[in-house]
Amino acid sequence: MSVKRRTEDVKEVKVNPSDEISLSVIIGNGHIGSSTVKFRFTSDILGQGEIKDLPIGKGSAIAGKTLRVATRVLIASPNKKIIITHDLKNAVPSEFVYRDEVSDNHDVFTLVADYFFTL
Amino acid sequence: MMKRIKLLIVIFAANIVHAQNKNFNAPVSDLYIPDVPGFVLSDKAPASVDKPSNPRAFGVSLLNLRNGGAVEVTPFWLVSNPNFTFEKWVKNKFPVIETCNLSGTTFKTDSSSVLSVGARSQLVRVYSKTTLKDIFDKKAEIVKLLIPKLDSNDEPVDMTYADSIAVFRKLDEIAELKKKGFFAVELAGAIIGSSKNNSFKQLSSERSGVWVNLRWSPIIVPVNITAVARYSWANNTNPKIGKDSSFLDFGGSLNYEFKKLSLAAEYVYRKDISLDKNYARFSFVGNYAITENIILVSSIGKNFSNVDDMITVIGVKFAVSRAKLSL
Repeated sequence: MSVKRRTEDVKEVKVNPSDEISLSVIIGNGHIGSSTVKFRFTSDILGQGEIKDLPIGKGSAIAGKTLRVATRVLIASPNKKIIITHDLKNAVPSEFVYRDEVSDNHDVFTLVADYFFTL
Repeated sequence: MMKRIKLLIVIFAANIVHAQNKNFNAPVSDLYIPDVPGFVLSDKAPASVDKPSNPRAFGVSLLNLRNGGAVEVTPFWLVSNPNFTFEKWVKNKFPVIETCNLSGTTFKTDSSSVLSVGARSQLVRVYSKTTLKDIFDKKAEIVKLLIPKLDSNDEPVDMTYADSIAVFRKLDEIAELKKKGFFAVELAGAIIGSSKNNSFKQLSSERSGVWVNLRWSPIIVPVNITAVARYSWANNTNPKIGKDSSFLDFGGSLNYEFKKLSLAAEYVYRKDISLDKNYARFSFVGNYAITENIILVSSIGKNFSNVDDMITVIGVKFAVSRAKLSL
């Protein structure tokens, strides 16, 4: 087993002050994945495990903060390709798709992505 | 010392197989659809099979195939499907596209070039509610173990060795769960062609075959039930030469495994369409594991041919691996 990690640059997303922002993490290609979601430099974890429609907060409350999403994927299908979708509802852009590939069926892949919210 | 020698003689004597027909192989599960139908029809078991995982590698494999070799590919998995989640994969009752597997092999003899291609797919695959629940329970345990733990700088900490082992063990358990509590219908077909002048440019088809399998493995009892219909026919050859006749087979098998005991029964009805003759074959195999490596074996059966077609076998099998003889 080998471990592959990929860290993405911070991505800026725009939100409306009155909109509720939520996050879904979709693990494609029939694999199994798990995530940890939190704002950077805070101790509170917003969500762990499978993430579906996780409330992140109102636009006015999260503006100026950076959301860290760490997603770990286990190969569970014949496909060695990894495809992870982070869906930030009510944000612009709202969808971020990450593609990668591992060399062995017993590899584990970890993606670290940051989103900086602006009004 | 003499007692030990006598014991050894008894054990080896027990291993002698008493059979009326030495050419009869206890027919071990040829009712299942072969993994690679193209290889079966060509009667070849390639030592290495290219299994490309992306379109570019698939293209290279096809080019290599021209010089001899084997390739097996499931096109669906060559590309990424962002919304195809684990749940969709397991709950999909008609995984025709996802399981459509293509295989091909080429080889040259002294006087001819041979190309064999095949395809197989699961038309229907339905897991029982119990099996589905067990699979998703295991998946939930994996998700829990996979949760990235973050350090004081919010960086993910690598999984511990113990967690990694636990994850892969549960993944193996999911694979085992998928073998019980399901109903499946599988379809496969293959065609083989050859050219007499050792060139692939003048290939002509020689033989074709199609298989349809129904498999049911109930969760309550340790039984596997298989029904098969298959048709194989010769192309461009004289059907009267017997060996290249067209066969229509219908059959079924029942396997029972419980602790140290394994029983299997198989029946195949064959219609030789070219010669307008009917045959039947049946067999029964029982295994009892006396210890992990010593298995008591008994078998009785009748082969297709009308001469020397009966078999009875009783003996002791000394296993060097843990694989059991089963139908």
